[in-house]
This record gives sequence, C-alpha cells and structure tokens, in this order.
Amino acid sequence: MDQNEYLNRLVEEFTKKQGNSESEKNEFIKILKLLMVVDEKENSEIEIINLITNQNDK
Amino acid sequence: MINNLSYKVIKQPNTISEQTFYPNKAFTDFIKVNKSNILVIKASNSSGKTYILEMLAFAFFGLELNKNDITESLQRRLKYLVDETHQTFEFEISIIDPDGSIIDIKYNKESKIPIIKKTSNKTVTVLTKEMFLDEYKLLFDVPENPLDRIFQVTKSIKDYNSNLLHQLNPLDLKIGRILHSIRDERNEKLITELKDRIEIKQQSLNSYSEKKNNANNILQDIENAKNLVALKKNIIDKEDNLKKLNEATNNFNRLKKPDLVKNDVKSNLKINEIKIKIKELNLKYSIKSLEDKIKDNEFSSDIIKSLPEYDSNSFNILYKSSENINSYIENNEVDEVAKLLRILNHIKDNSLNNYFNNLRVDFNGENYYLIQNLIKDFQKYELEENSIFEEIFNKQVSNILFDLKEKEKKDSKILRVNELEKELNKIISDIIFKLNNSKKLSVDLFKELGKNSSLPLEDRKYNSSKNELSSLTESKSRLQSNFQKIRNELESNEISLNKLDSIESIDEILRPLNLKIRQFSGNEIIEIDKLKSEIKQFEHLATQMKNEIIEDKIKLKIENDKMSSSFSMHKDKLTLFSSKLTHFIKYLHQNNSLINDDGELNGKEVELNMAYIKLIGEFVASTMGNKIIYQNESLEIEYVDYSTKTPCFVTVQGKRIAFPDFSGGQASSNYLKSKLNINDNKKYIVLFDEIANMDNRSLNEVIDKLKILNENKKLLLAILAEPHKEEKEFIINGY
Repeated sequence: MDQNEYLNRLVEEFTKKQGNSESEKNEFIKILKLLMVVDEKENSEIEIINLITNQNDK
Repeated sequence: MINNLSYKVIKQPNTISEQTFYPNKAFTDFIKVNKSNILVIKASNSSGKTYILEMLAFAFFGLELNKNDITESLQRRLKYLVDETHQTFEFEISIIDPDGSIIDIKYNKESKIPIIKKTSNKTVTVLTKEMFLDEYKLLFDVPENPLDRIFQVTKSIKDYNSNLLHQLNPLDLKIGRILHSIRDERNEKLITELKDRIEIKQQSLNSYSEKKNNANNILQDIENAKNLVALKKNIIDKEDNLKKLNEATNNFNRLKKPDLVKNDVKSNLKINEIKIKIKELNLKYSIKSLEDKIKDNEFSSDIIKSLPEYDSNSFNILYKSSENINSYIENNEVDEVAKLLRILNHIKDNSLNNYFNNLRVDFNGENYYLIQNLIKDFQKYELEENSIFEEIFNKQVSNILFDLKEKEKKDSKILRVNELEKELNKIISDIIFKLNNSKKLSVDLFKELGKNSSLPLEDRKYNSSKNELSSLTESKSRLQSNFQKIRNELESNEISLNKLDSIESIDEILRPLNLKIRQFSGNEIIEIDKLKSEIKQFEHLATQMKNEIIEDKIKLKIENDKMSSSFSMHKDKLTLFSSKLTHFIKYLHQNNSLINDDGELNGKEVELNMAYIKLIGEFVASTMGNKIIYQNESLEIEYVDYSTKTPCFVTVQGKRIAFPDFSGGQASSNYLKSKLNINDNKKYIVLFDEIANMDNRSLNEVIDKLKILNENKKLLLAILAEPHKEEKEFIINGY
C-alpha cells in the first residue's frame, strides 16, 4: 500500500461514514487530488473553482 | 552493484598511535568478479566490514537522515567517523545504477562533503545533496529492538497525515474565502426554489378557492331551500294575519271609545313608558345575537356536536324565548324569566366553559408562543445561505420557516378560541344583567295594569280590542318586513323575484332544490354551520397563502435584482465541496490524533475508530510485503491489529500472532522487511549491520524482499553484515 492508495482508502472510509455514494466518493477523491497539486499563484482561485465545478471537464 | 571501492583511514594521525586502514582485500577481490547488487558479509571483528558500511552511509548523506530514520547509536558512529580529531579518511566509490548510469563518489579532507557525479550516456552530472535525496533513499540500520521499531511505520503514517493536513488546511481556508466573496451574489438555486414555491402555493390557493366555491354553492342551495320554506310559511302567516286583522278592525270599530279620566291617562302613559323601557332592553336582539354568534363561528359545528342533549335543549329553549321574552316580562311571568336566567347561567358556567376547556387541551398555547418566537429568530437568517442549518436541521431556513408557519397556522386557533369564549361570555352576561333589570320593570307594569283593571267592562274590552289590533298591525308589519328580507336574500342568491309570487311557483323552485340537497335532509342547520365554518377556513387559508405568495414574490424580486457572476452559478457545488473538505480535514485530524508521537495508538479512542485502526494495520502489513516468518513458517498476513493492548499480526486465515511471541531473529527479519517498501518511488541503498540474530530462513525472507526491489530496478545496492566467530574470516555472498 503506497501513500496514494492509503489516501484513497482514507477517503473511502470517510465517504462511507458520510453516507456518500460510490460516484460521490470518486468525484471527491478526484477533485481532492487535483486540488492538492494546484500551485500557489495568481488566479489559483479560478483554477480551484474550475476544478471543483468540473469546468475543466467541459 | 559496486564497480569499485577504495578508502584510506588514518587513526590518531600524527601521533605514536597512528594506524592506517584499507579495504579488506577479500572484499575488493570479490567485487571485481561478482556483480551482485545484494551482498551479505560474514566477517570477524575488526576486519573492516563496519568501515565499508559506515563509509557508504556517510557517502549517501547518512548524517542528513532525520532521527526517525536512523538510530542514535548509528548516528553517533557516523559522527565519530568524520571527527578529524582522532582520524582522517578519504574514499572513492563507483556504483552502477539499475538504469545503467554510473555513480562516482569521491571524498577527501579537502572536499568537505562527498562529491557525487552521475555519468549517463557520456553526460556527467554533479548531483547536489537535494538531487541525490530526490532519487535515492538510504536505509542504514541495525535491527536492534526490531518489534518496538515497527511502531516507526505507524509514526510515518502520522507524518504523512500531518503532511496532508498541512496541504489541505490552507486549501480549505482558500475555498472558504472564495465562498465568502460570492456570498452576496445572485443565488440561482434560491431563485429556482422561490419560483417553484410560488407555483406550488399558487396551486394551493387555487385549490382553496375551488373548495370554497363548492362549499358556497352547496350553502347557497341549502339556504335557498330554507328561505323558500320560510317564504312559504310567511305567505301563509301573512294571509292568516290579514284575516285576523280585518276581523279585529271590524270588532274595534263596533266598540265605543271610553271617556278618558285624568287618572287613566296618567296610568296609560306610565304603562307605555314601562313598555318602552322593556323594549329598549333589546333582549330579543341580544338573544338572537347570541344565537347567531354560536351558530356562525369557526367552531360552530364542533360546539353543536359536542353539546350533551340537556345542554342542547337548553340552547333551543333560549333561542325560542327571543320571540316571547318581552311578553314574559310584560305579563310578569316570573317563572319563565327565572327559568331563562337558570339556563343562561348553566350555559355560561357549564356548557361553554367545559367545551372551551376541552378545546384548549387540543391546542397547546405554550407551543404557539414558542413557534412565534422561533419564526422571528429564523426570519433573521432567511436570506442567508449558511450550511450550518442544513447540517443541523437537514433543511434550508426557508423550509424550516415554511414548516413553522404551517404549525403556527394550526396552533393559532388557541387565540381564536379564547377570543370567541370572551365574546360569548360578554353577550350572556349582558342578557343576564338585562333580565335581572327587567324584573323590576315587570313588577311596576303589573301594578299599573292592576290599576286599569278597575275600569268598567266596556272600557276594558275597548282597551283589549285596541291592544289586539295594535299587536296584529305590528305582526303584519313584521311579517311584511320579514317577507322582504327573505325575498332579498333569495334574490341575492340568484333566484328571480318574479318567480316568488305564489306558493305554487315557490314549490316549483323548491322541488329540484330539495332533490339536490336531499343528502342533508334533517341536518340542514348543522350543515349550514359546517359549510360556513369550512368557507371561513378556506378564506383564512387563502388569505394566508396570498400573503405568503406576496412575501415570496418580494424575495424573488430582491434576489433577481442582485448582481451575478459566472462563479455564483456554482455556489452550491462549491459550498458542498467546501463542507465535505472541512469534514474530511476534521476526520483526518481526529484519526491522526489516535497515533501518538511514538507511533503508538491512544487506547481510549481506538474503539470509536476501528475502520481507521484497521487501515493502519493494513498499511503496516503491506510494508512487510504481507508476509512474516513465525516458527520457521512463512505466513501471509492481512493486517496488524492495533486495537488490542498487545498488537498482533492477523493472517488471512484469521490466525492471530502477538508481537511478543516472535523470536528476536524473526522480528528482525519482519522489521527489516517492513522498511523495504516496493511502492516507494525512490531507489534504495540498503546497509544493514549486525543481522546475526536472524537464522537462514529469516535472512532469506529479507533477501527475497531485496530481490524483488532489485528486479523492479529499485535497488542501487544492499549490504548486510554480521560478525563471524572465526578470526580473520571475511566471507561474502552475492545474491
């Protein structure tokens, strides 16, 4: 189990406790990981909003 | 694999104790011919094996390892190595990386730090410390107290958790700030909700109007039928009255008018004066008002239904007395008046009192005032989007307010009940007061009339005939006025007046009407009360609904007029994620606090976090390749159970093996394995000293794990060393 898998499991336990569905869990971990690599820079807020609202997928 | 290794150590330089050491020849000869990446050295003491390990550890920045990654004794050994007050040294090492590049490390007194050069495709790169540590990981260890040190793995989980928290906390704050900045923007979700709510309320309003119209139609039919019957009776009474009036007029005209003496005139004046006073008491009207009030209120049908038979009769006697009350007083019928007073007191103190007390039990007044206060409080936050309400109450403020207002509507009846009781008591007290006053008037009138009885018979007949004539004339006028009143009511209820001239034409209208309302036959009065109450209720609900619609429309306008940006469109999604992230951070923080700084688990909270404890156990087991050696047997383990006071390994078959049940060698092997994590991205340099407590099987387990790393090109070099009891022995095995 590496750190990535550990984080996945952690989120899995958390979302299970929250009563979230499988797709909600996948969405949360996906966004969380993307947000964790967002650099601190100008306009990073817009990048964060886009990631959370899946604007980048469209 | 090691390409080349040379060093020179001078102990106590420039003193009489000076000694120089070089690498063991057996070792240098071995690496010339054997190209293994995994070497196990078994050599006697002072044969130089420790120098080789320490030199390599120093070359690969062993002094930079943090205290969790190196034992104090090994760190001390490295510090002694570079202490120039007792020795100087220099070395050159060349190692081949699994990717084919060559790593050359050179150190001498002048260079101060190891110089590392990496040659790849004839390109030479000097690796800084940071570059080196990014790509390689040094494991320099002695498996002393191996089981205790398994807790270091849990400690590493805590470090990773802390690292995650360090990343997530600022992110959480940032998202919070984003949400704050778009708080006052147009809330599209609220707009949609308001529009939906207005539509639903409009539907409710329409439904109330429809129900009210239906009730009105039935009420109109029943009232029309009732009025038509009354009109018929009125026509018959009028004809009867006309006949009697004609006869009385003829009789009266035949009588001689008596001569009036002064005294009689005076007496008659007094009699008239008293009669006026009796009329002015307006008792007939007061009783009628009481009847109307009881029969025409929100709770009428309920009052009528709930009255016991005796009380119901009392009410009917009272209602009927309105026609005769003045006659009772004028004729001094003391018993009738006393009976009415008894009935009124009974109605007031028993019938109505009991009814209202029972009603109050159904509607809780305290709840009503509590609800009113809650509405006031929640209204303050109605336009705010705050997730706390949704978290606690599982619904938005607007929905909470809607529920509270519905409850308020229901419980507001308590106010109307109290108001009705007050009004009825006032009317009854007024009638009682007037009736008591009427007693004296009755006695006075009786006295005056007594005086008149001494008149001659002819005169008395004249007076009696005159009184009859006057009473019939009064009746005629009353019947006529009633006739008009009923006709007006019928006309206002859409019945044409020209159809109401004769009993036959009235019957013609009445017949189909009676068919239409035959289901209410015999219960018309109750039904009228019920319908009136229903209509009132629907009107009340419709008014409330209209007000709510107006309120929502105002809110909609306010929200509609707000500015909007593209971000506010996603406010809900952002809020939801922010809330989830905050909770996740809390969850992570809570879990992390289970592990103390020594890598042990805090016992008290363990039971509440079994899932996470299992996750830690699985993580630790995975670092050991999910295998342990126990009683010379290799067992597949699923996880380490930290939930018990003594941690234990749990095999896939569910077999539990407690930590202290391991021999030192097995534990060392298990511990060393746990340090070799195939999932790590870096390449390993493994230097394990003093591994003598492991038997061949335990050692082979570690070597197998190293082989897996090697096959995955994640092993730069591994040297395992143990002492040999035979002197001057230096045995090397390559794997």
